[in-house]
Amino acid sequence: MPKLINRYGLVDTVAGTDGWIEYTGDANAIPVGAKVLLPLTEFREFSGTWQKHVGVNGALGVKLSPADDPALIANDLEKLALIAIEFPAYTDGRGYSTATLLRERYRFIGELRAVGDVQRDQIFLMARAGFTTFALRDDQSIAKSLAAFNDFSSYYQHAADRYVNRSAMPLAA
Amino acid sequence: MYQYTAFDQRLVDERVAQFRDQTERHLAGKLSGDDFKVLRLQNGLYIQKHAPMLRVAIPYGLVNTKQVRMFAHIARKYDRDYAHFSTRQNIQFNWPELSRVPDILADLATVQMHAIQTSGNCIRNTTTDQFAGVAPDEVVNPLVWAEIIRQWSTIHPEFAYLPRKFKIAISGSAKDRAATLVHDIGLVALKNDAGQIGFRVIVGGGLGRTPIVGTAIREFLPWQHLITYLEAVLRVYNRLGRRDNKYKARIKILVKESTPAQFTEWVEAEFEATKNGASLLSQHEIDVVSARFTQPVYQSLPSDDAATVTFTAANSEFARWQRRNVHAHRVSGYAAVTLSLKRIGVPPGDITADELDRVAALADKFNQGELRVTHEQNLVFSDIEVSALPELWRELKSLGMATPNIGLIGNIIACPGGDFCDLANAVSIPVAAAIHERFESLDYQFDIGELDLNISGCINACGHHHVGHIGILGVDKHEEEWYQITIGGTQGNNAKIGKIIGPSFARAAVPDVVENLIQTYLSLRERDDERFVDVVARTGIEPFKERVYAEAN
Repeated sequence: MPKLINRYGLVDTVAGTDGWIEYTGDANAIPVGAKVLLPLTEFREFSGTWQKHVGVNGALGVKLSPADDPALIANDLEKLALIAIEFPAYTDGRGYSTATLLRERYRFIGELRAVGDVQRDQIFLMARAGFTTFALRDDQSIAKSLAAFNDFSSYYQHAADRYVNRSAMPLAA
Repeated sequence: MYQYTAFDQRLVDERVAQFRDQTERHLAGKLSGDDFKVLRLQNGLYIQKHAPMLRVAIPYGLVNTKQVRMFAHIARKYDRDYAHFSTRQNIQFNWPELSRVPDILADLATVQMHAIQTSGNCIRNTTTDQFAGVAPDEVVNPLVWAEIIRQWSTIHPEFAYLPRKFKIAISGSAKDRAATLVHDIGLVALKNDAGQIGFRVIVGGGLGRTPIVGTAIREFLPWQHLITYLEAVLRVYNRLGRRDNKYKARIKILVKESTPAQFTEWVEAEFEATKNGASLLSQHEIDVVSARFTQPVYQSLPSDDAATVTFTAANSEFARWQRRNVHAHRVSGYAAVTLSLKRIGVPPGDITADELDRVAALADKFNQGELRVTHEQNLVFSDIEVSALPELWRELKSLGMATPNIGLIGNIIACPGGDFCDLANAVSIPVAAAIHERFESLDYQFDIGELDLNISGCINACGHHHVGHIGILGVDKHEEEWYQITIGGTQGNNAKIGKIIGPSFARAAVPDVVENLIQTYLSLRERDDERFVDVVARTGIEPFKERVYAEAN
């Protein structure tokens, strides 16, 4: 079962998506007023249409692949409640730079979610790079994953988490 | 020597706890081999032929005697009574048990040592000049800057999962002893006309499968921007470096394929946005880090010591050692000394636990409790009083570390090779041993003069064969060990990649081939001080090639 956590605990115990529906090509599968997660190309071409579709009760999110350039959505950030960044394998570190750019350069203040091969052992670094929610790989222990936020009590360098507003984060579900 | 604060100590302790938990989960079957692999590599642990190998970081090659005694302790308690100094100023243990590695790391942490980022696709241990701070030709002492890079790169959240490993070297002298032209990033600290410190930034050099001399993309980067500029380079690489093929994943391939001009443009655009960011360095930060370095205490001494001069005149063996293993010092009455770890019958860079203890005792007695590791796999005492040289020499002689072969053919650099390493196509150590024996005569070595002979057991080039005056590379030919020979490679300011002389040779033939190369050189040289590599530059490889293959047929 997919699990979605933030640093305070489980955000969604049921579907692991916190109500977000991923658009995979079938628009009929997305109810009016939903929270919909779009691929970058779909968002760039049809963001107006989708905004109307989800309306004021729904929300838009974008899912970025590792090679996607976050500069392409830099001017649309206020339209986005969620940016998900895909980790096809935990060894693919491009998502850390994407997250850093979104937080540090473009000052995205919404939810930044790590999806894909998201494991306990990368969470500390992901959180420091500016991620706030983590869609854990199925086999990951929730307790171990939550402990990961405290792997280190201090660090040497500046990172993008300094731009994360923790007071705006929901506490555990 | 940099002194840890409680902050540094806590971070290393927490790293030990983190890795202990990861190892326990792995051993309990809760963390798969694939998922554990990168975690253990980033803690210096390889799984090799016979046993795991643990690579321990020696930041920029500087180590104190307490730490050296800890190496001896670890070699005795967890290993087979010896350790190996690598070509990246680190130390390796070849026989630890996986389940005990967390205990080794905990022992190391008690003396402020660790194995963080000594392997894996991350920023590795930053290396520097073994004579940093004491070299007469030094413009800027690189140690403080190396420490600042160490701190910045340690557990960096953005750059822990790069396309491939990433090595930074820094030099601050007229003569480059840190191989800055063949690193992912090479930094040369210098001063501008106004006396301000800055860095020449060289990117995309490297050895391995595709040897390339790096390109300078900045001639003078003001020191305040050291980290913001590194961030820009690393970010461009992390985002755009190839991840589809590990052999094309190093930054040098990105620089080459995109062209240095395009790459520079990307970096400069990125830097434009980062340069005044949070990582901009302040004088205060530099002062704080500088203040944590202990400084050697120097007496006011005359440049020459009468007794030492007399001893030199009377003892040709000592005179030879002075010529090859004793180096000029910026402070009058002091010298730096290289302890040769190139001994007949001992793999280059290997040292026993007892020897580590004896070296530590000598460093306490003669060198203010510190020593350094060189990228040529030797050790350096950096602050020896000239009057103490004869006594130190006798001590080193009894340890077998006074062979006057630094810069000569006896000072062979060799990776661990097929005897230990999984990647190797061929053995390195026995080849080094055979050449070492062939050229055992010091008279012969001195007659040949300066010569770097480097051996790698595979194309990954840990033995730096490309920049050896003579380079030897193990290749796999129908599952037999063969060796390809290059000549004319050079390290330093005018680093050059050696040229392959022709088809490879069977292992048994290698000493003869080297002998023929040397004989060719001796017959061609016009003056005694024309080095092997100078002759190759003057004549090209043809005369060498002709002779070697004529003899081989």
